[in-house]
Amino acid sequence: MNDQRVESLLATPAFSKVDASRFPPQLPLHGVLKNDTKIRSFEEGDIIVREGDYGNSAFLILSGKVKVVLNSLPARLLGRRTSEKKTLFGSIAQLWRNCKVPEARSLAANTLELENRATAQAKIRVGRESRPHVFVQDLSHVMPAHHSVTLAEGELFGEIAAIGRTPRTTTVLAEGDVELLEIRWQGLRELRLFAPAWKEHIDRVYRQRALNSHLRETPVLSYLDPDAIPGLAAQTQFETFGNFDWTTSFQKLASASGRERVEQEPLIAREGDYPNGLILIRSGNVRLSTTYNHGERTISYLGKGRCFGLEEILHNAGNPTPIPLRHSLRAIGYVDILVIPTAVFEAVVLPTLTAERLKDLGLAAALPGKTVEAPVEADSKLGADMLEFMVENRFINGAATMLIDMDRCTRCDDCVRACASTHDGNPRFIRQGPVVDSIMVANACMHCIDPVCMIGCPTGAISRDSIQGQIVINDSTCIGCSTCATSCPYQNIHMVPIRDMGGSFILDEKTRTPIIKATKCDFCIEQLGGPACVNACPHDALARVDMSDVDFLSEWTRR
Amino acid sequence: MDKALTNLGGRRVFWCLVSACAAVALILAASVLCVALLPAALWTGTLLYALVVALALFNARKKLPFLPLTRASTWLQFHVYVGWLAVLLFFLHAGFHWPHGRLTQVLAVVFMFVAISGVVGLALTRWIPGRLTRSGEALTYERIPEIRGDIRVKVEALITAADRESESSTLGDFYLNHLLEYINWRPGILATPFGDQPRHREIVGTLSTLDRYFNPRERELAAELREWIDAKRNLDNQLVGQRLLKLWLFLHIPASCSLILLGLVHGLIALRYTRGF
Repeated sequence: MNDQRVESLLATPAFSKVDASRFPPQLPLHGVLKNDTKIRSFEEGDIIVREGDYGNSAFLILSGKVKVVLNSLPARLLGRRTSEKKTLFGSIAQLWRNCKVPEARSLAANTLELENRATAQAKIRVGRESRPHVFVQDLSHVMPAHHSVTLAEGELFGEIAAIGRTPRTTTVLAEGDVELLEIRWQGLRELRLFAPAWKEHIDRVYRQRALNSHLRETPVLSYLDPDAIPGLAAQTQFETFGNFDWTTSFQKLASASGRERVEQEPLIAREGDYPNGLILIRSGNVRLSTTYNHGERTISYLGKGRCFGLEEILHNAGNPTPIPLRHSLRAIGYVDILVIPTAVFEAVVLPTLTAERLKDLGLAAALPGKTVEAPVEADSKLGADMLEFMVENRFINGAATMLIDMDRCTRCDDCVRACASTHDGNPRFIRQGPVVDSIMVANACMHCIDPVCMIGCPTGAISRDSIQGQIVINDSTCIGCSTCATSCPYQNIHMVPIRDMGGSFILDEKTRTPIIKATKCDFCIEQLGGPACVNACPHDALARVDMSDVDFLSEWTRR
Repeated sequence: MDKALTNLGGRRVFWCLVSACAAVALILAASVLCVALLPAALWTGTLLYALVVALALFNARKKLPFLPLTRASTWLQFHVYVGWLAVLLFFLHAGFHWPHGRLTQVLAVVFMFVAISGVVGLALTRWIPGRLTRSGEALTYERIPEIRGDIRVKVEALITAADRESESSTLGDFYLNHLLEYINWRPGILATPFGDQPRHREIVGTLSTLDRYFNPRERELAAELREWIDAKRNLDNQLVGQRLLKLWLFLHIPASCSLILLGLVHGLIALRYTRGF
């Protein structure tokens, strides 16, 4: 973005009323627009954002119109992989259909051939920006079947997903030629902080579209009258902590000491402070720690849907001897939180929480006025070493982390062979990785709760399966840009050159270099029996573990 | 999450109880057949052969990971406990005495070999993995030759650095006279896994003795060298342990195939002479 373009942007209605003097000298409005925004051009039918994608930016329409599709579009139309279980015959046929050539692809499945396939509706084209776009062919024919609304010049979309790091809830397509201003999450954060009109708009949209439903899903608020939720939402504050692009900072800190890493994590709440409000984790993971001599000892980790400070607030309600927060809360990666102020909680929520209901919520120990006992936390279940290791390396992000008990593993590689057999002869993980207390975290896709690999895929080839939730790659629409592999903090996505059935590399027509594709574990989403690696281990040494299930993790590691 | 993955003790008790019941039932059934003057050997032999074939299917299951045939660990449990039942059935079938015919003697030897190799294999799979883990860094078996080469390159770089930086030949002489041979040495097929390694102890002892000739820089390099010597010990442990874990299968599986073939021949001959077909 050059200075001239920024000046013209500042003259548009979206920015002309923004008071530039409110921005700090180190973050001037001009600088925010220059560094954190980009002009994007799309043509008729181009998919701008896809439902289910994780995006790190919002879009302001500078010229033209876009269509917001309110119903879900078929995966094929979005260029996504459609996962269907194999039939029994299809499964058996892998015995003779598996190719002996590594990473072989039939040419018909190749991206470059996609446009020639009569049945395909999602296609890739290189737009004016020399960037590949997935576009929907014959938009006018497809769209009448789906309910949609049109947004025009000056309107903003994608801001909730960008700020809350939540999946996009709708698909947006270009209706004719469109020029958009793409605002990165950093820019959006600054605009929200220093431009009241932007803050008012974003907060209003956020409360309308996301906050009410999130509050309704929170167990401790489940006894509230549904009519009371909007009032509560109006008084709820929301904040984000950490870096959206946390992979980079995580990789930089790889060689740092445990103490340095903890200190780098943004502090959300400090041990010893008065509990100002109930903190609800909306997305991301947080570290619960307590001061131990000159350092901080990790007690547990909390993920989406968990809350912090509830026991202290319950204890303090009407108690003449209030207690402060017993733990500190730090953001691991990017965290989106909601805060219900203590006074609001006491006035609105507390009357609905009877002793019986608190018992149902597993909070019997936190009855108002009762002494708060030290909870049985993850460190006593897992062991301090294991817990620190899992949190420091951010393996807690995994919903299907591959753990191998090295005290039971006979190194027979049956798991690797099974993986290869179910993936056309190509294993999709490496039986290697860091080891703690004889538990190895193998190099296999963890199907993360916060999938940073999904941010920035230009064609949406990497996506979360809409039914089973695994992260999968559509080989046909993957253009081999390596964005996902670079973003994966755990190096679990591998770029491979593809070959034809004869073993020769398939070359790009223009550059004459081998075409590469992103590959990773797909959790055997198409196999009848589930993950082959787990099923193939004769010694029960291998498990795919949802790291948010601390009870299972501790039982499995201590069996 | 599957609780079967965490409750291994409960699973063991279940299989033990089922096996014990099956063993009692087998003994009773064999006794009844004898008392009733029925062809007990024919019945026990047929059942034994069926069990042996069923046990061999475990290996076939490994070749079909894409089919929903339950977990391989369940198959292994079946393999282990039914294996014990097969041993009991073998003795019931043979009448607890050594067979007289040539073929049956060969068959008995092969059966015992398969059974014993199975028990040894089971013991190895329970004993070695933990020791491999405690030995040091987990290494992939196929990469061991490459890692051995890496260690040698790293050690040679250290020795070159010592020669250049300390103007002393102590470490260089140590390398040529002792260390090079140790690094190139590979444990034999019958090497004891994880025991005291005399070669490692000797080389470390020699390096310690040389300490009196080192200057401070050499002492630093010697400490680094010691780490590589320990890495070599781990490499040898990994090689011996992982090789043993693979080797017993190379004995157990071919012997099992022979057993199935010999059993078939034995069964056909037995039927030929008892039923006259």
